[in-house]
Order: sequence, then structure tokens, then C-alpha cells
Amino acid sequence: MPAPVKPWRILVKAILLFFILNFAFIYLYPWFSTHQIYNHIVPGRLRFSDSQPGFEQTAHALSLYDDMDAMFALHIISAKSKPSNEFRVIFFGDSSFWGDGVSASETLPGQINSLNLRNCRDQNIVAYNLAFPTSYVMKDFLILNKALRYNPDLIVWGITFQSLSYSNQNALGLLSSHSDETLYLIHHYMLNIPTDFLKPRTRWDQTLLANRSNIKKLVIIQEDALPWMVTGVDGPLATTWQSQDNNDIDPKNKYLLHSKTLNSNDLMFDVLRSADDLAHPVQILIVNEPIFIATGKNSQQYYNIMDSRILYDKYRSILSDWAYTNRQPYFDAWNSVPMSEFTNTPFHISANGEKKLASLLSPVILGLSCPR
Amino acid sequence: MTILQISILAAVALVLGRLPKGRQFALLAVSAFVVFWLQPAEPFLSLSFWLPVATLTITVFAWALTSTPEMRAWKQNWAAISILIGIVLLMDLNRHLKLTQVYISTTPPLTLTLIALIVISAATLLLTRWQGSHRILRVIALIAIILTFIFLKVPQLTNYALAFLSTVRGPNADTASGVAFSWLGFSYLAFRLMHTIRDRQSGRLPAVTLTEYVNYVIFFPSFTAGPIDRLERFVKELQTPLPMGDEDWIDAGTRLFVGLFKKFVVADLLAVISISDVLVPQVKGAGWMWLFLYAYTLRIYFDFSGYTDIAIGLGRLLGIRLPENFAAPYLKPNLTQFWNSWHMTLTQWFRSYFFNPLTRALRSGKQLPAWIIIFVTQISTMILIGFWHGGTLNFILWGAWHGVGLFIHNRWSEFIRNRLPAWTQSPRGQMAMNALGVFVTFNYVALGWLFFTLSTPAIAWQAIIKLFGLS
Repeated sequence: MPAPVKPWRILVKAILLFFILNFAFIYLYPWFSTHQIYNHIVPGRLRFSDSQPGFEQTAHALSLYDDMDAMFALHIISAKSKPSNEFRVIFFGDSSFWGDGVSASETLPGQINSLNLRNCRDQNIVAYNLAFPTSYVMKDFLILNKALRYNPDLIVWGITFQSLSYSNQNALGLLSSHSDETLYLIHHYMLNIPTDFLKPRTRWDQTLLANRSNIKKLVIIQEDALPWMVTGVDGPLATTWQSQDNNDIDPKNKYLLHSKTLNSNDLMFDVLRSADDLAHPVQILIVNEPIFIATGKNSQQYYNIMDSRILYDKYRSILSDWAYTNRQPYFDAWNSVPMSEFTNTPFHISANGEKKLASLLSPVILGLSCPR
Repeated sequence: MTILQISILAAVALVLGRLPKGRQFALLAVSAFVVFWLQPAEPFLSLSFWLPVATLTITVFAWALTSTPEMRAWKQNWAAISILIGIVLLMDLNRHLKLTQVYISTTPPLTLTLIALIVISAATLLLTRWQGSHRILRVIALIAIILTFIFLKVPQLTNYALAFLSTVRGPNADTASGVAFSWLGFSYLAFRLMHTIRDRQSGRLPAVTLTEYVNYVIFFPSFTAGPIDRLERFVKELQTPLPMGDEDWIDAGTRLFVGLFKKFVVADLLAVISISDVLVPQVKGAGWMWLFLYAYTLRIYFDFSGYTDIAIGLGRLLGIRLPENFAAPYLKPNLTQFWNSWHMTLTQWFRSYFFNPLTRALRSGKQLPAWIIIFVTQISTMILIGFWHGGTLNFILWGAWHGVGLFIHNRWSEFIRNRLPAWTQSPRGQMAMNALGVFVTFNYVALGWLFFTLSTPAIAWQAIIKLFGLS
């Protein structure tokens, strides 16, 4: 006759297992987060997985900002080592370079790849999209720090007035989730960036219980591999257009910066300079991203709902002076895309807009891939 | 319900089940609280307060209409009335306590709540002291429940009512969200109430106190997602809870965890790859479409049966064994058996209160051919079951799909009964026929889910075309 079951014994075993699993997880999780279905069973994604709230199902995507190693493991860049005949170009930037509103193959790096460029050394120019939505150059610096392990030959970094402005920054999930790495970069390069929102990670932060939401996201994103592979959709497509909705500017709108003056200390050149040091000898091409230029009401004072003409012109002037002084490769694309190609924000552009930008940028990339 | 809510309810059930005294009253208080707690937050007209109040009110009214005179004595019921009024007042006071983690604070002013409680109490008193015929009142109550049910289920009606209310309240008033009339648990509440009223009409309902009656109707483990128990069975175990030995603890816990796993792991994972309005236009290739359809087919089973397991597990902790709702439905060789093992308590309800009475009525009238009676009863029952899930064309089509399927199966069984070749009687032949039946039934049910889960017949049709490679 089997021994009677004692519920308290089960309870004790359950508590014991709970603690063992929680602390074993600290050592097991890094392996799980970097060994994904992507790049093994299904092809890696062409850009980092990201989705706005409410669009997760439409986009077959989730933001994995809590775990940058998982973000990279899911990306096609970690699929295989770089072939010898590849000239690897890595794109960083915000949602504009990420390709908000266009499909993964129609983003700027996708359009560059579709041009099938070859440089003077007969290398294939292959572009990788490592942009991540949200405007903050420090966030790009953090990603760059990880991305260098993938042996880029050239870095193309899309920036905007907003992403470079100190006044526009706030605590971002990606930075606070990687507080140790961010704090290291800030202290090592002596960056003028507040650190009060960065709390060093503790053992508790790494337990199974503390990471349950990350695990769920990681599992769901593996499942998303199937609908993504079948549909090719990894983000909602644009449905609204600036030229129709925001050609008239309301000066009271909440996005406008109302500062009267601007000088170089207001812009995060220390981050750009540090990134250049970190990436050396790999060159960084800074691209001032295209903006929507309105023609309607109040357009004499404002380019769009985010940029006043005086401030933006000053920003461009300071940026180009800085690039010239520091011999930094620089491409000012601010007015390179026609207003009809802007979608849901003054800097998100359509597939046609991306194509136009790619055609302008490709000679610059080819030039930088063949040093004199 | 979230995992946290279920965990809290499990802990509460654990304590309530062990109470030596006052268990029924404590259960009543908790169940009444849960009615408020789980109601979706809706600030418009304080509906998230008034809808739970309405749940308790119509339950008390239904008891007044169905109880026997000896059960209506004040001595037996004052405690239940005090508890219900106390819970309503406690909820209303939350506008001052601001315990937003527990309950939203969009409650009406206390004076309004007090006036409502006085009116409801007076109406209840009037019903219990009513010297006239309760028979007519019970018929009126049945009609009122059915009309409310129709109103809540048909989106055009609720949208029209919301638009009307918004217009009356003027442009500066708060606007209603699309889910303003999401009356938590009403589908189940209505069917429990109708069961008791119908059984009272036929003289089969046992005499119960207000505490027992309200506990049956709003029993928190089964309030939101069933199963639909029967009053006489429930009250027996409420009065004399099942003993809890070591094995029973294990059984209850296992059931609860199996339910949580089915719902929050299996079903939620399948949800990502389940066919949906989003996927149908995006997917190219019939094979993938079938895969996503099968994912939904399994998901709905694990989701719903998971909730049933959770309800049964919670009930078991309280010493009450709720009825089973599922018995491996996807392994059944024909549609009739499928419906005998899918959402069984709902099917039994419809059989008792619609299908059987309608069949009897049709048989007793003109001498209609049997196949016509079968066709009419099966189609109408299944369309009503479809309507129970939602008052849109898609749910009606889903019901009709199953009604037609049941009718075809019925006729086919009649036709084939004496025509089956001898080999089908051998063990292997039976196994092969059974496997074929399971395959056909599973796929028929899976195709039916298209109408259930997709929002319009046009998308469902688009999915069918893609599934059969016709696009």
C-alpha cells in the first residue's frame, strides 16, 4: 500500500524548489536569452523587435529593451560571422532609421541593400538596421558598445535635434535596464549625463521572480517567429500622413521646444565624440535626419510641430561646424525628402522617402568604404 | 481574472472552507464583494458600481419570487440582507477610502446609494409579502431577464443606448467607452436565475433561504465563467460541505494548478499563433492558415477548460464539488458526442429548458415528420447557444453551423445504421471508423470556430477561401 500523501511535505519541497530555481536562473538565463529560435530555425529579424502598446499582435513583435543580449540574438546580424567580401555598415538611430510605418525590408538599410552596392575593393555593401525607436543618442552609444563585436566597417548614425538635445532627454527603459553598462560608459567617458535614474542591478534583479515579465516576452517573441516568418510583418504600417494632418502649425502644441537660444553646450557632442573614440578605427558617418517642412499656417516660424525655424537652423549650423572642426564624416539630409513622403510624425518617412534617402546616402557610403 | 486575483481567491477559499461557523455568511460576503471587484472599471454613470448592484438586486428579487413562504421569514434572512447591504455600502464608501487596488472609486454619492438601497429593500419586502399570484410575476421576471439578455448581447442596441445616454447628458459629461455595458457574469447569472424560476414554475425547486440562494447564483469560483450548477445539488453541499482529507487537498490543488497552467501557459501561448482578424489578410498559404486555425481550436479549449478547472479547484477548497464542463471533446467521433462533452452544463441547460420542451411541443401538435422536428429543434437550439455567446451575425452563423452539423450527423447515423460493411464491426475496423470520426468532427468544429473568433462573416469567408487554397 502506497504511503499516504502529506500536503505539508509537498509545500516544503515546493518552497525549496522555488528558491533553487530562482537562483539557478541567474546563471541559466543568459544562455536562454541568447539561444533563440531566430537565426537557428527561422531567419533572424531585419531590425530590433519593437512594438507600440496595442500593436503587439498586429506587428508580431514585442520590445525586448530589458535585455539587449536577447535583442541582438534575435537580429540577423548575429546569424553568422562576417564573410570576407562583405563591407558591413551598421545603422544606428531612432524610430526614423528603425523604420516606423514601413516594412522591415523597406527601411533605409533595407533600401541600401536593395541597391546591391559594391565598393572599389569589390566588397558587397551590406547594411544592418540596429536603430531603436526613441530619440536619445546615449541609447545609441549603449547599443554601439555591444554592436562593435559584430565587426562593422562603417557606422551610419542618424541623429535629430531632439536626440542630440540635453533638454529633450528622460529616463529610458533601455538605459535603466542596462544600468551597469550605461554607468560604465558615463563614468569612463565622463559624460555630462544625469545618473539618478540608473540603479545598479542586484542579485534579486536577476532572479526568476524579478524577470518573469522578461521571460514571458522572450517566449512570446519566439512564438512570434512563426507568424512573422509567414507574413513578413514586424510592425504596423503607416496610415496617417503629415502633409495632410500637420501642415498648419499650432505654436501651443506640446512638442515644440520654446527655448530662445541654443549653443553647443546644449547638444550632446560629448556622446558623439566618445562614440567615435570607442569605435575607432571604424568610421562613423553622422546623418542629420530628414524632417518634414510644413508650408501651411505659421510655417514662417516653424518647420513642423517639433522644430522652430530659429532653433533648428542654429542646431544645423552648430552641428556642421562641429563636424567640420572634428573632421567627422557628416551628411545633412534635413530637407532631402519631399513633404509628401512623411507619415505619422515630422521625421517618419514612407518607403519612397527611404528609397530617396538611400539613393542620396549610397554615394557617401561608397566613398567612405574606399578610403583615399 | 488575473493570476493574482485567482491566488487571492484561492487563499480566501482555503480559509472559508475551514471555518467551523458562519461559513455560508462569510461566503456570501466574499462572493458579493467579488461581483464588484471583478467588474471592469467604467466611470460612465458609475456603471461599474451600479451593474454589480443590479446583479445583487435581481438575484434577491428572483429569490423573493421563487422562495416558499416559510423561507421568507425575517429571522432566517436578516443576516444575508445585512451582509449584502453592508457590502454595497462598503463599496460606495471607497470613494473616501480610495483603495484603488481593491476597487475603483467611481461610485455615486452615498445619499443616492442609500435611496437606491431603500427602494430595493422596499421592493423586496413587497415581493415577499405579496398576497397575489407570484405566477404572473415570475413570467414577467423571465421576460425581463430575456430582454435584458438580448439588450446586452446585441452591440447595436447597447451602442444605441450609450449614444442616447451621452446625448441626454450633454456634451460636457464624461463619455462612455465601448464596454460600458459589460455586465460581468450576466450570461451565467441569467441562466441560473431562469433555471430557478422555471423549476419553481414546475414545482421542482427546493425551498432555500436567501443566503443559500444568493450563494448559489453568485458563487465566486463559478460566477464569471461557469460551470452552471443546479440549485438543489449546490445547496446540498453548501449545507454539508464535502470532507477534506489529505487526498482531497491534493486533488483541489492539482485541479487549480492544472487550470492555471492550461489558461495562463498553454492557452496564452497558443493565442500568439491563433487565427485572428489580423492574421487572415496577412497569411499566404493554406497550410499556415490551417496551422493557425488549429492553434485557435486548441487555445479556446485550453482557455475555457482551464477556467473550469480553476473554478472546480476553488470550489473543492470550499467543500463544494462543481459539475464538470468538459470531457475530452476533441476526441469525440461525432458532433453529438462533442456537444455532450463541450461546455456540458450549458448544453444540459439548453436541453432541459429549450430543446426538450420544444421537442415535446412539436411532437404533441401536428404530426410532423421526425426529421423536421429534429431539424427545427437542433438548429434553433444551436442558434440560441450561438446567441448566448454574442448577438452578432457571426455567432448566429456559428450556432447554425453546429445545428446543421448535428442534423447531418443524426440523419447520417440513421442512414448508415444497417448499411455498414462487416469489417467495420471488427476491433480494427471500429478503431479506424472512430479515428475517421474524430478527424472529421475535429475539423468540422475547427472550421466552425472561424465564425466564432473572426469579427465578420466577410473575414470568415476570406479565411475559408484561403484554407481551401481558392484565393
